[in-house]
Amino acid sequence: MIERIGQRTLRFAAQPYLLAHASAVGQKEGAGPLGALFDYVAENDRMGEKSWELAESRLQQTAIDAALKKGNLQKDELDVILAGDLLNQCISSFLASVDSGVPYLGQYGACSTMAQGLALGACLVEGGAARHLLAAASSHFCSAERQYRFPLAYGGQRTPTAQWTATAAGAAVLSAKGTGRIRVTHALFGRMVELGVTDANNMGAAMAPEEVNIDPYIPRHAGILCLKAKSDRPARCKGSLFPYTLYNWIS
Amino acid sequence: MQLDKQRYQQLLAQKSPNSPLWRDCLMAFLFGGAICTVGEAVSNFYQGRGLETTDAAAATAITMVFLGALLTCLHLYDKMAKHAGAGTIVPITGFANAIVSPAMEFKSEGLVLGLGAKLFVIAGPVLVYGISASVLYGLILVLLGGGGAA
Repeated sequence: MIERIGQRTLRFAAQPYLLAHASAVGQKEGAGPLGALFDYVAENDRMGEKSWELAESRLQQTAIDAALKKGNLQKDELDVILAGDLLNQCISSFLASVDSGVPYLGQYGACSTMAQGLALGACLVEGGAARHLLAAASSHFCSAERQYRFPLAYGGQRTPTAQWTATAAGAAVLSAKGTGRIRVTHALFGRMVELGVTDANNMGAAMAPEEVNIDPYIPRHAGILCLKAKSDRPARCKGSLFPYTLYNWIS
Repeated sequence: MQLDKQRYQQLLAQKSPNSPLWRDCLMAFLFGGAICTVGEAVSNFYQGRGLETTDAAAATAITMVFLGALLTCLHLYDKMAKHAGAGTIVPITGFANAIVSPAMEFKSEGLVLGLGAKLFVIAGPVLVYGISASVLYGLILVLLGGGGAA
């Protein structure tokens, strides 16, 4: 059962299991400091496809297949797929799952798509709407540049604050039953905060503001959130810094 | 911490590193100058082969546009532009790049609705306002009785 506690926090009683997860990335990401941690690194960002959108779709498919393999599941065992990306009509996600025969729910949350998929997925699993489901998200530098900015061969100069859209896909299987240590215990849907950043290259500045209302938890020990006592004020962190993490913390 | 739009913009301006203006200017000067030097050499070449000055100018423009397009196709123009900035945008080769790069990018959407429709996605505004301005100034010139003998 899902319990609403505090002002906006959802607490899951059964705590869905994160059965398996996998990632697939492009060449540049594979060469980075996290390179060895990814399940799949593409040799060529085009992935042998006709377009960047198809390449992104292939990347997401690769991540989905890897996650299912790790979780020892077949695609038809999934009750629903929650997936999204940055493109019009979430085309890469749609194409990645169009042949799966599994009900598909498109997600669009830009950078929060994966978290959104996991949070909604946990609600579906906890509520009994799905036994196993898969949440996935992807982005591709080349398809994002093309949709939001300039053609790749255009000779533009990047500003020092310009950021790079990752060529990467991730997928995670949530399950009502399972073993393993990673479980979804809480979810907290964020409110939109818009502070007027209009620079299409400075994505970080647009994303940095957040309004985190973690009531009824408050940061008490270093890095750990605790249930607040009656005497505590509502915990409310507003601004651009929130150093606390809540991980598999069960009251 | 309460952040409104105004304070956030101030914070951003304060924390964001600025473009290295002097370095950018120097690189733009060097690259832009180099492109113009090549253009001058090409122009001299055509004049040396007996073309009139105006004809040589046209032939030079055609040659430079071709070179810009070629370098764009080889993905060399964007690599150069990363350092050159305005040095590669301002010369006529930059215009070639602005036309050829969307053509390459949108070819995958088809020859009519992709390449054809998106060809001027970057250069479009330059053409629209450039041509509009030239028409406007032409009219003003005619109305003021200038423009020379027609």
